[in-house]
Amino acid sequence: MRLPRRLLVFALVAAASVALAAPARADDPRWQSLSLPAEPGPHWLWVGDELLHRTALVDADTGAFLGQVPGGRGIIAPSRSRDGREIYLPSTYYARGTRGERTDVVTILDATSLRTLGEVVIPPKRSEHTSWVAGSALSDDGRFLAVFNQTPASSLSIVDVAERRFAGEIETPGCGLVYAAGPRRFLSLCADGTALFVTLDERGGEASKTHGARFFDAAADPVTEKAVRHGDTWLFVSFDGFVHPVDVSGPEPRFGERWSLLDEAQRKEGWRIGGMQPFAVHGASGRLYALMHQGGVDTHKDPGTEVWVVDVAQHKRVQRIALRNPLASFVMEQIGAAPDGIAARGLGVALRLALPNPGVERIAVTQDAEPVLLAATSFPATLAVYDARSGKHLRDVKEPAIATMMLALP
Amino acid sequence: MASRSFDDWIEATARRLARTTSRRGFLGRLGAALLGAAAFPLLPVARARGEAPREPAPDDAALTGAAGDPTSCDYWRHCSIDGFLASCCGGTATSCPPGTEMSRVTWIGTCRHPVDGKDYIISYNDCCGNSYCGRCLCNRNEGDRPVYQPGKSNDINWCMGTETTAYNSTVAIVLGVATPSS
Amino acid sequence: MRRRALVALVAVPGLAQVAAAYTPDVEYTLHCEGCHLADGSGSPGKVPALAGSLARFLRVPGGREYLARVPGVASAPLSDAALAALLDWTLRRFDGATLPADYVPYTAKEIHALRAQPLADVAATRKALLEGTDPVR
Repeated sequence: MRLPRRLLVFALVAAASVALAAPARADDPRWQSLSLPAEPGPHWLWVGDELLHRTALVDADTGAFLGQVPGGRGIIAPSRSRDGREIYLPSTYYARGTRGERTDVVTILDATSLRTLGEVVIPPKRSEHTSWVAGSALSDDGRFLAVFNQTPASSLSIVDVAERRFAGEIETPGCGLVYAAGPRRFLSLCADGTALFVTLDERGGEASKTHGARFFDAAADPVTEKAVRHGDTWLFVSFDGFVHPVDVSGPEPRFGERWSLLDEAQRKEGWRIGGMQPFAVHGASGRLYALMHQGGVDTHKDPGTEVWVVDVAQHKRVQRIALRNPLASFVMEQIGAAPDGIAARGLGVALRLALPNPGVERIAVTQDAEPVLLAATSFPATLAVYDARSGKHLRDVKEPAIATMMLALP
Repeated sequence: MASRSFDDWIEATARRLARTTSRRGFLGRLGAALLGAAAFPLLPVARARGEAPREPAPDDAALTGAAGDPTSCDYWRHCSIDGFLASCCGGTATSCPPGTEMSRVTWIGTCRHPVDGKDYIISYNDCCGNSYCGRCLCNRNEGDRPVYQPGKSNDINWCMGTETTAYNSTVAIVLGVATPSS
Repeated sequence: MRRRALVALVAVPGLAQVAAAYTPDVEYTLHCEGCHLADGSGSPGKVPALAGSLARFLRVPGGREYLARVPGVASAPLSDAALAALLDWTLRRFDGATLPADYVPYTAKEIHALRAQPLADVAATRKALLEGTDPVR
């Protein structure tokens, strides 16, 4: 009979579909979005992109692109929660892209799935500055994220990440930027050569706000925004290459004596710090990596041609790492030259010599026992990987971005 | 009174330029400051200046090479510019491209003129309310200071006085000579 | 520009300062005009206006001190004397008509003391001071 046969066929097909679909899809990665492992790899790196409005996660060992976190205007360094499960990324959005109502938020994401879990709206005042450094900081106890605002008046927006709420705004007149400086304390740099210490209360409100003693000469040789933290000591480096240590481990911050990255001979040769992220510290070995170039006064943002490795305890340079011409690397990548072929190597050398060298603008160093040094140029966007101990060039990460504007360790 | 003399000065200067430069040169140097000021509506900044005018911007005709080219990072006025040059983006060294709004809040520095050796006051106003221009990116830093000294920082997005902070490009307007104190 | 070549550091321990390289109107342009604008009108909601309102602060206790302690003034890269001259010039330029009869110009010594006491909260201080003044004048 027709009807029963049709029914039978239908039933068989339906049963087969169910058998094929439901149990298989749940476990089948072909239909899923992947998740990252719970622990970041030792040589993973966030690479922010100004034009793509995202920060990408790359594996410097394999060159693999692991995923990305979208943001609005001005991607700054993401912060990771203390337990490693969440990521916080301040972002700025306009309702119509470049116009309309502005909304600033701290986006909260799951660190493994990279899915958005929520957001906290903050005042639409977040600072936008070219280097994008020191734009936000997570308190050392992991409870509060401070976001630096500049309208041009300065303030900090405080977000309670545990309760996912905006805790309030704290004025920081005459000061700017934000660095974590204790369990519930932040540091801002001030135009009068002091640091402002803001301590929060239980609810993220202002418990105290005090200026430390003057520790740098704001007129003659100001410290740059691009500080790095070595243990509990912030290393603020001035335009002329003097390191000003600030120990924030105790209830009272301690200002160490300043010391020079360069000796007199090197200064005479015109060596200077430069770039948008000129410094990185390898904590375990106590080494400060500094992006250097030769240039005159006012070249404090010029890209670097080499990295100097300085022993923080001994105040002495122990190594120089030559950086490859990023434009040559970019061209090699574009023509698809295999890195190991003899012809390709010859071509690479020729290009490095022949092409103008745009220099390197940002560096980072991983914190493991076999660290790598990452060196990035914004445009064309390149990301080179070096052995941080031997200085040997290992590889270039392909297509890290269109316009790199932030490097951060996950 | 002061306002009227300022207008007279602009008119006289524009006429002087037209006489001393050939027509081709005149058109070819459309990016020069005084031509820009005469051809486009005066900025509120300039118009509102109620005191006696300072010395006018120097004549770019005297400059050769990149120092005289408003589309070059080495243009003499760009000694502390950070951004895309408005003159490459549909504007000029002194006026913003179509579809953008000039921010009146800005940062102001000085650049030395390569020919007459004077320090001129340069206003680096941003053109805002539009996407990034993406052409002629320049970053020179004479007199630049870190972001916590905002009045002297070119890193800051100075689209603070406009409807949105969407940054497009930057101009370099001469406000006058930095008159040394006695 | 060659600021470092032109100016000399005043050897005062404490605030790093530079001597006045330029006339007060030029110093206003270099250090104040970018935000407060050439006509002193500021930017509503972001930068206070100076025109027609600056002298108000001189008529309320704490106001005179406030003008020298606001961050833009206190941290200006100018010597105490140059800053005193600039503050005086600014008052006369933008609110000269309503200066109190007993106004005396700031002195370098006064500026030196005041700028060493940065304000902790500008907005709240400003609001409190303005509430104490006569808004009609």
